[in-house]
Amino acid sequence: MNAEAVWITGIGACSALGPDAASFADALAQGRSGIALQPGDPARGVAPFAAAAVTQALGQDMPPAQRNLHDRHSLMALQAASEAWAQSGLPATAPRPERAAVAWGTGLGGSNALQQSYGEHLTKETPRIHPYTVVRVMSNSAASHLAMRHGLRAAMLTISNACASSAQAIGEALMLLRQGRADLALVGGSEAMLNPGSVAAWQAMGVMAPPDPEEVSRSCRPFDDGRRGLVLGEGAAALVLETASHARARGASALAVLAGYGHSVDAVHLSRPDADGQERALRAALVDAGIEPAQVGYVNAHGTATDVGDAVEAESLARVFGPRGVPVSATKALHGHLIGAGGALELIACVQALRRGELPPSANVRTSALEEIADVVREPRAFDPSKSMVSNSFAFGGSNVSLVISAA
Amino acid sequence: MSNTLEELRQLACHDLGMSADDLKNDVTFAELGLDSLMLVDFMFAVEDKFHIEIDHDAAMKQPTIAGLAALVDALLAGDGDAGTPAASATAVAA
Repeated sequence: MNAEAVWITGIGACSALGPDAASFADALAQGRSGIALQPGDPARGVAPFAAAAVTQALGQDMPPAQRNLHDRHSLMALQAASEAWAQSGLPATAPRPERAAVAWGTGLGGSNALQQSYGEHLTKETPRIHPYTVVRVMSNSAASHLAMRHGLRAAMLTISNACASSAQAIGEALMLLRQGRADLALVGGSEAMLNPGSVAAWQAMGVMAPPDPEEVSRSCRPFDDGRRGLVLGEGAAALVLETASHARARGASALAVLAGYGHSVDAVHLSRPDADGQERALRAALVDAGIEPAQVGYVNAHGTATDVGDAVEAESLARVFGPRGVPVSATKALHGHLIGAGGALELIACVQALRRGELPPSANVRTSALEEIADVVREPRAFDPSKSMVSNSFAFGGSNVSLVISAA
Repeated sequence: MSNTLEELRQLACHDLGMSADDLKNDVTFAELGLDSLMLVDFMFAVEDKFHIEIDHDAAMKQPTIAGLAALVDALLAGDGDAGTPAASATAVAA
């Protein structure tokens, strides 16, 4: 297939690091953390925990009855998408709706709405359940709202593959555009699960880092020898993808080229990462982009800061790029793990790094035995714009996604 | 205008984003542009504000702001005929 290039023409981010993609990139460059101590719900067995929470008010441009249609993650999705859409320079709604698609990722979907509605229904003396419960909770709620807001009628994909959800949504949208099924696609992901029920479930798995007793903001330490697990985050990230011909025809410029997508499935364990599966995703992405490993100048690691996860990823990177063969950092140290939205947010970290010519450092690394095989970026480092970047997202359930971007 | 009616009007304007001029007391909710889901959502807001339980079928007998205000007043007064058993059981204390 001789498919034309797909450009990224708009980006938007709503995260604990700020309300937009610029503040997000600034925080990454400065090493500013969005992680803080959250109160939990000790009366219900949810201990205080470290997390990267969005603190700004959401959905303030709509009356409560309209806002009520949304779960928290959906409001974040609208905000991030509005920023991306505006940057692309497209009119408020797609010029040709039947040629415009949406592809969105989320892990748990309407987690907050689910807890609120079920909690009220199951614990109140007189049960009542909100009539919007279903439409708030369904995993395609954010995609549906985005389609209505921007007039996206070609296709709607909702990917729920845990931590790979939004990365896979972006990759599948790339396929869709290459196949000629649409000219543009609004893509990304959103996640908001910092509610007591979801947090309790994560705590029960034993994979969450305890709050750092000296500095909570440094609780997440990917690739550090003292890493103790992941720190949850919340937020949304959105990108506008367009075929190069569509973008050129309307005079739009490319922020970056979405050059490659690789996807693989481990099929070995629900939660244990697998270097073989990761290696296959990485190699598939490079083949798809038509580049060799030596042409990659940076990898934004999945890097959740679990003991096993970082070690396995360092191994898979070494297999593909050679020991210390490519600079790597894990920005989750600052913005937390956004689960289904993480891949999209981290791809935006790459786009911003590409545009700014500087790699975001991997924060909170003190000593790292993994540096024997991984070139961990500890300080901001210049990026060679002739090279490409890779963003990894590896999920519970054994789904692996690697995305490749390059300069236009 | 009763206090209840005025409070309901304020709630409707705030929650639904309607102007006070557009919110006619005796115009049906449907004519005001509320679909069935939006109406139930609004009833939830009314229940929370007045700490009552509204039987939605009873509310639909007079589906206007004025009719709803009369129903709320009856529930607050403990009028058992105002709604179904669920509604009549309570004007729930805060």
